[in-house]
Amino acid sequence: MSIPLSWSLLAISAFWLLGALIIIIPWRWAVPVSLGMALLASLVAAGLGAATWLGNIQWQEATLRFNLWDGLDVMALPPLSLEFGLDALSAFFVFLVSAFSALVAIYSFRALQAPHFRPYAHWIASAFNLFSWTTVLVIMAQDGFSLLICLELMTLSFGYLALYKHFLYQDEPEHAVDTDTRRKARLAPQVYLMTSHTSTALLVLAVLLLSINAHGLGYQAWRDNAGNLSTSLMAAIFLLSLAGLGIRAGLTPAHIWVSLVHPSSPTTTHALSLGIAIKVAIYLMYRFFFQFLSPQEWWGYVLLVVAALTALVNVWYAISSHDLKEALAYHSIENIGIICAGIGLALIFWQDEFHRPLAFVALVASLYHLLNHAVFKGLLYLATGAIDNLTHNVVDIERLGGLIYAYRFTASMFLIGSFSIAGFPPFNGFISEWLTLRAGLNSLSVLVSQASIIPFLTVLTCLLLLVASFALTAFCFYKMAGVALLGMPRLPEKERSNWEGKDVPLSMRGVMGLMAGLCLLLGILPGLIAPQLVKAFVPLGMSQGYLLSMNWMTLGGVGITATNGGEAMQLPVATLAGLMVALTVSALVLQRALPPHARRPDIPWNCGEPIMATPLHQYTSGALSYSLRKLFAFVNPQPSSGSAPDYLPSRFVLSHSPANPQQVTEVFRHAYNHLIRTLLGFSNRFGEKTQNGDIRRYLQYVFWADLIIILIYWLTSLFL
Amino acid sequence: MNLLRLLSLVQGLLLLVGAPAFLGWLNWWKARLTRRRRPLTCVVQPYRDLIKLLRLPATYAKPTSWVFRLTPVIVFAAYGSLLFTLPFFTRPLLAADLVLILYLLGLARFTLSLAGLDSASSFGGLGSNREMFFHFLTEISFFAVILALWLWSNVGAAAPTQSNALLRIVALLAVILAFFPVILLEARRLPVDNLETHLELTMAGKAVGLEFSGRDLALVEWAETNKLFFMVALWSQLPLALFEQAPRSVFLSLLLWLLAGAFLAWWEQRTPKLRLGRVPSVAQMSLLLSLFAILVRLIPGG
Repeated sequence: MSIPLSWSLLAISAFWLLGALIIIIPWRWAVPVSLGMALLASLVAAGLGAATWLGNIQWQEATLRFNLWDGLDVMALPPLSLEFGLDALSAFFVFLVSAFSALVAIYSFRALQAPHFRPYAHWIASAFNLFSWTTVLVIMAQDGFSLLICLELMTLSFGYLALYKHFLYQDEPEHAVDTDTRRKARLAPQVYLMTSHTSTALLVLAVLLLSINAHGLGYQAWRDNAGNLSTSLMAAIFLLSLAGLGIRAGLTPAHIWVSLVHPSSPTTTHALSLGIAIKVAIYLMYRFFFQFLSPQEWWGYVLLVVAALTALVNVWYAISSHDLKEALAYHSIENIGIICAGIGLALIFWQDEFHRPLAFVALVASLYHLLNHAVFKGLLYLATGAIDNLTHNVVDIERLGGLIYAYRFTASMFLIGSFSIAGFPPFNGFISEWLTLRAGLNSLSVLVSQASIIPFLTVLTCLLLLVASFALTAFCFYKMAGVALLGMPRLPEKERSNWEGKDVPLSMRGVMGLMAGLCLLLGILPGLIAPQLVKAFVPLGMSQGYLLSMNWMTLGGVGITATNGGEAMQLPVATLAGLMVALTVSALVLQRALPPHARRPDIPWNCGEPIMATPLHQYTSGALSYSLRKLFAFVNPQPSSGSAPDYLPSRFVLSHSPANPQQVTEVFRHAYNHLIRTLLGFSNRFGEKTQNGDIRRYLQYVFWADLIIILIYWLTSLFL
Repeated sequence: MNLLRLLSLVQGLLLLVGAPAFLGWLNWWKARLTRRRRPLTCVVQPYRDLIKLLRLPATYAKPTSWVFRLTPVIVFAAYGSLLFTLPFFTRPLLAADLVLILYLLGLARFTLSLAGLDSASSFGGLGSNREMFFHFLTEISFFAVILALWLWSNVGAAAPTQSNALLRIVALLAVILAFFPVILLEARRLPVDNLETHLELTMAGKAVGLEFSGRDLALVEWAETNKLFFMVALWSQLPLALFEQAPRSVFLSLLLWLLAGAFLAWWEQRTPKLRLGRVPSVAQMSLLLSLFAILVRLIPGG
């Protein structure tokens, strides 16, 4: 089937824009209609994306070009145009973004009716439309100019969403919200815009270097020119784009913005913004590193080290954090680290023709993890959004607890998400973590056979760091799910009086149920999913031949022979699932079916005392992380309590108790505060010297400027 | 299902049913080593305990949800399926690699720890917190062992390199030594945790299980036994990996299991419990030994 690209792009853009603009009309159905438009546009885009990715449709034109001008001879301006198109890689991402956008739209119909959303529902809906649209446009961009424009549009539309908490607190009475919370909400959009602009500035440099050398702005020109670039130039472009995209993706040390900004945006859009949209940077990494440049080996080590550090650092702060949204935001960055580790391993072996299949395994591992993370983190965000709605804005885990009794469905969904994200079989997180580790193990044995010691030690360390972060993930979600959902409610009855009486409506539960089902399906059917993911990499040169080798590497890879007599093994997902089901059923029969059945409710063990424990007897989340904090005490310096202002909030307060106050310092935010302080001090001193308000000083500047211009003019006329 | 797979299934079931006997063997040795008299028939004592518990209905504390009720089942399934990865008289049903095993162990521990928080008692939180802390330590040291085994088993490399026999033996001995602390951490044996204590404040794994009763307790205890047996069996397979031409027979495996059980009993009766803050040193020891084995692989000609 062959479809005109122009009409498709026009149609989805029209729906999304109409959805964004319709809220101008003061009409009581404006919000549902706006969300409906978003749903419609997302469904169309998701369908087209999926069909292109799986190779079911062809486009009539490869790219769509909007000419802005055809070049003006007078001013020697080159022609400028916006170019959009879809290949398999971008189609996969378009599918993912729009499918999530559709789910979020369905979820939002009822979610936006909560009291803390209702006054702002119209602009949340509008900004959501714009955000989905611009994200899809970034992915569809086929030249540097439209890429940068769309990235800026996307930044602005998300910045619009990040204003939500600020608006909310502005309308609250003075005493209801403390100044610190208000300051954080005000800080969020500012921090977001600043980090995004820093990232764009670096990307502009990378794009300029690429287009000057390729004599064109189009991706096609860059691709064709990839082989002609010199090594040092490529290294420069790599470092610039890594820094630019790394800031956008939140790689350490630039992760600080994510946990500040995202909790300020409405919870309904989290699944889209942190689940998927942050991975636009990953998409661009695939494009920049593998298509526009030809990767060098050392790039891989750089990215791998950064990725492993990102994973470990962020899971650590996720453990320290008490706020569900903040912890999930940190944890999303941990997963970005795991994805980037896959990309790093791929970069190492990309140029090595013999080991190229290994690079592809690592790439597929990263894409599989990207998909998995979108699904389980999406589920967790939607469940958090539901909790947010049910408890009227209480997401501090110290003030939750026992949600599983009042809101059984939502809590169960959060638990399923926790199992998946901690990477336990039979859920999906396991498959991609297994693939990533397997790619790492294979790389190690290749490096051993090449006797390259420093690379070997680098990969070894990174793998151990990654495994540590996997283990800490399990700890993090044990703490989060255990404290927030299980046990007894931690707030006294009267402070919970405004909590909802029953679980969220059917539409929201349905979306969560669908995501939970996907967590399971992606975990037990990797054999069906992985070959489809390979198709997304066809534009990067993954050919049919590699597809064949993929099959054994991903699903029939060799295993560790120690226990099994040296025979090659595969990941036996089907056998495992069958076995676990059989064992579960037989254990259930043992537990439930045999007489006698009497089960009387009892009080928990209290050393024999017949006293019912109170909620205060439960472990707090700060106490739960104590042993780990003690182990990692060396990374938690207590900042000197000077009077210098913290520009970014840099501490997690674990316990307010005056006798034993406990805090964890966000070392990186602390460092940024130092940086800001130093820069401000420097610019103040510099400004005092150069702009002292004395008119003679300014006249002197004018004189020197005139002199320099005349000199330049004279020199150029002399030599040219 | 062909006959071979049926045979593998039977083998797994046999190990599942036989695992408590291993605990009996271990306890018999512990009793003997402390000069308590016991007939060898006491090996079946764990079965008697299990049957007694299976007859009793479970009671549930008031603040417990379905997580708590489902936990014994999930723990049993996770640890039970581990036994289907062991070769005994035929190839195992579940041809799992060690990374999968690592995650299955994690699954059970994670669920058990959640159940600890679910009962809303102080001891549940205390125990499960320690459990997850041990899980963190175990996972890293176990993975280091996996790395060392992987690099010496030589299967991942596209062009297998010849390795020096002496270095290989040294490295694999280090791996075998490195795996022992992993057993202690994973199966919570001394010096990591004292399973015979009755003081709740010093418990780790047992504090999580305090709330389980009757049939649920039977499932959890059986599952724990399965895990202990699995870890020891895996350990006793490692010497077989050391010598690729080693004879593999049912009797050799059985002998190694029994020896390992006796060794563990001897180890336990002479080792005092470490306090919690010192437990990371157990993991450190394992990690260092594994890293030694890994680094030996880098020696040219090694």
